[in-house]
Amino acid sequence: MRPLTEEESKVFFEKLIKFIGKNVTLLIQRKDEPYCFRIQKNKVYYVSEELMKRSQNIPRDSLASLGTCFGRFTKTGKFKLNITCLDYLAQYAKYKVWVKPTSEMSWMYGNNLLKAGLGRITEDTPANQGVVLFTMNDVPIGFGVTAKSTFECRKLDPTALVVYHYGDVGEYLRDEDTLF
Amino acid sequence: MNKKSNNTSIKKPSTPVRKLVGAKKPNVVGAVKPNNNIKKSTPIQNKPTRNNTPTKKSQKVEEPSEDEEEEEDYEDSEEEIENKKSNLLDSDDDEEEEDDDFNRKNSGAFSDQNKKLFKMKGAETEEGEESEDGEDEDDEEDSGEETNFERKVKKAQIKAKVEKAKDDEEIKNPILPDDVSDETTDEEGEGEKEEGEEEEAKKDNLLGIDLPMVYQRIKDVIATLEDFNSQRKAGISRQVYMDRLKEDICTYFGYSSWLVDVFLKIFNAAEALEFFEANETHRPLTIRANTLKTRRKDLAEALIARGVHLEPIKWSQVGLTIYDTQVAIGATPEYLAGQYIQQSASSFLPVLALAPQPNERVLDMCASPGGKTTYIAAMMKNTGTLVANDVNKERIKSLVANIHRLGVKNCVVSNMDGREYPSVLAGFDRVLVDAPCVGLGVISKDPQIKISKSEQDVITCTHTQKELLLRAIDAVDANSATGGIIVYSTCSLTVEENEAVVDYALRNRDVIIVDTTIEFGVDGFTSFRESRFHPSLALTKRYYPHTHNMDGFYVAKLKKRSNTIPSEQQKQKQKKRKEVSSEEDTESDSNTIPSEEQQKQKQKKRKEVSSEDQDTESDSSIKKQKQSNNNTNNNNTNNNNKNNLNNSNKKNKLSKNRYVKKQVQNKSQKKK
Repeated sequence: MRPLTEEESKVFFEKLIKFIGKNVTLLIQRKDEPYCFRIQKNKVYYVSEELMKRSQNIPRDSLASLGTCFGRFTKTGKFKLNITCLDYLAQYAKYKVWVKPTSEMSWMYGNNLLKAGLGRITEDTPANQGVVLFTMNDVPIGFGVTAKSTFECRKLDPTALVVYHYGDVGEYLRDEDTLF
Repeated sequence: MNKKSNNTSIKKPSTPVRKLVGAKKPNVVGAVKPNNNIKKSTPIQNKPTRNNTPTKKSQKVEEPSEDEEEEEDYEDSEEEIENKKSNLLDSDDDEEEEDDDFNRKNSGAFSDQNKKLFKMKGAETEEGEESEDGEDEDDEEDSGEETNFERKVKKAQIKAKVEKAKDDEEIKNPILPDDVSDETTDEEGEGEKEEGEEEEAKKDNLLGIDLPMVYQRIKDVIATLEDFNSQRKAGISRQVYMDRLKEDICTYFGYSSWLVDVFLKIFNAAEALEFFEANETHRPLTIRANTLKTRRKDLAEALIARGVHLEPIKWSQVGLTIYDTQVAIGATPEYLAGQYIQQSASSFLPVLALAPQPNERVLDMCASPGGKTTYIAAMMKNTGTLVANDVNKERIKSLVANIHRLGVKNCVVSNMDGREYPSVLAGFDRVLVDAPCVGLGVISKDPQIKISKSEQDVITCTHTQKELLLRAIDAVDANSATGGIIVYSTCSLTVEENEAVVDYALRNRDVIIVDTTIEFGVDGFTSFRESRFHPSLALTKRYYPHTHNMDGFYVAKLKKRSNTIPSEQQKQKQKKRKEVSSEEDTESDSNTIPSEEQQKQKQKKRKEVSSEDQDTESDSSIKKQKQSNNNTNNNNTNNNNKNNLNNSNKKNKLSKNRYVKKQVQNKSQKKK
């Protein structure tokens, strides 16, 4: 377990900013308790400093997880967000998309979101913007990248792609073996 | 397939239903034909050739002397068999009488419920058939679709049958009333062919399983045992009844005989039967609403909208029982969003007993798959520090997955042996030890436990359990303002894994048992057969499938009183003693002749040591067991001292001898 290097932080925060924009600062400078990012076995964890100190006692090999896992660095040095960080993304997301109940399951099986399943979308979302997806009851179910802006979405036919799949809660079931 | 059907017909019980049996007879013969040169009317002969030992026994059992004449009527039957039979029959009059009783009993047990039983049998005897087939032709068994487990069960059942056949003569009597003589004679008149069928059917009863009959007998025996003085048959001891009951339960429910023994020690006979029956049905499916993300009410509404029938668990704030569902309960959007987790009702209990508070430091020593861990986190409202540990690397994945899915943010997960904990991290306010166990409480979940577990498993388990519990106690800070609590739980029911382990902890650490704060449950044992436990063990709680409709479970709540470890204190004292005694040794070595003064000094030292011991005794006199412990220890140490004394005396003598020798030598030298 160690803090992120400068290189790593750059890659990591660039990715995070795509989804929650300037709210990233809120993650680091919390009013209640100091939190920090730590890297352990290629995975990036977001954890309170007190918890981090406690876990320093645990041998590195046996430390399986601490706090919340945000994602992992690939061997090529890119960063991949995991579904496990959905809570924080949902909390700070700038742009949101609501999915119709009929398309919920399709999304949770790892498919892209079509116009037919689009319930609501934040005003003036640009294209290629990271968004968090919610059910109509405001339960977060994943995140993705918009294919079209809000404006363009209005004219689309129902079978057109609206949001590219990036991560969904179905991964807890599908990828349990590889995710953790 | 033909063979199978034939066999079923063969196995049906003897007397009252003859017509049925007779009707199927042609099939039987057909099946038998290949091995057989003899005519149709003698199906008996096939059996003896196939399985020698059991048939002999069965013949013994079945043939009362009155049958002899009729048997002679079998024109086609082989002489050998006749001879055997007549030998057997002539041998012992008393035996014959007993056998009569047995026949009557069988008929009695069946006469009321014949039809039902036979219908059931059609379904149930398949096992029996297949096992028989297995004996006849190994190939067939292999090609069958049975799982390993089924095979094992069948083998066990066959064994049980064979044993049963052996014991039958002794045991038939107790169960049967003595009033039967008339029936048998009447029945015998009915005809040769039917008689033959009957015999065959009887033999097969001993080989195949007649489950309804076994069940009936279990019930009869239990009824007898409950009112033993008036119901027993004279001269038959309770032990005989119990042995019969054990065997029947092994046969009917498919348990290993060791396991049946275990449960018959924990429960009385009637309750044990309830327990075994409860293990055949599944417990209701329960889920726990994750209060970090939702409320139980909201969750219930969302699930009802998806077509799930559910009801809140009364004694819990967060539990829901699911009666019926149209969707997979483990794959709804609510589940994936972490609003609930599938968790058996019994595993709520240790967490309720632990009662973690916000901002505490809590350790879950054996955490996977995370049901209890996430419940603890929810009760702590995601504050403080929660450390979850599990030894098994594979199970760690599900633990981490559940922790993340349910939005637990205050948790560190470690993958190591729980016994390392106090050295890695200590000073916790509360520790939960949900120890690995034999799992005798969850037989309904995993029926393989019925035969796969043995006494050795219990022994190894209890060892790790004791170690884990002691380490857990060591990891707790007794001076914690809010806690100092240890909860020990298992999903097993043996006393060795539960009360004995907690009692062991009481003797070795400065802890007391406190009330679990759970309102229901059966009190723990304070005495069990030859073992006696601390009286406060009555405050621990046991849960049984048949009384609480949840998995069998055990929960004990301990409070740590001080951080000192009694056993280590004793060790230190022993060290002191050793030092003293070693001093003696060195003294005795160095001084060839110990003066009287020195000896007096040593005695004083010894007295001081023993007085220290007495002091410690008075300290710990609060707990009787500890006292006795100390006493034994002191005795040991006293013995040690005595030994040392003896040794030193010997050495003194030796040295005296040497001294004398030296003196002699000196004298001789002087003379020279």
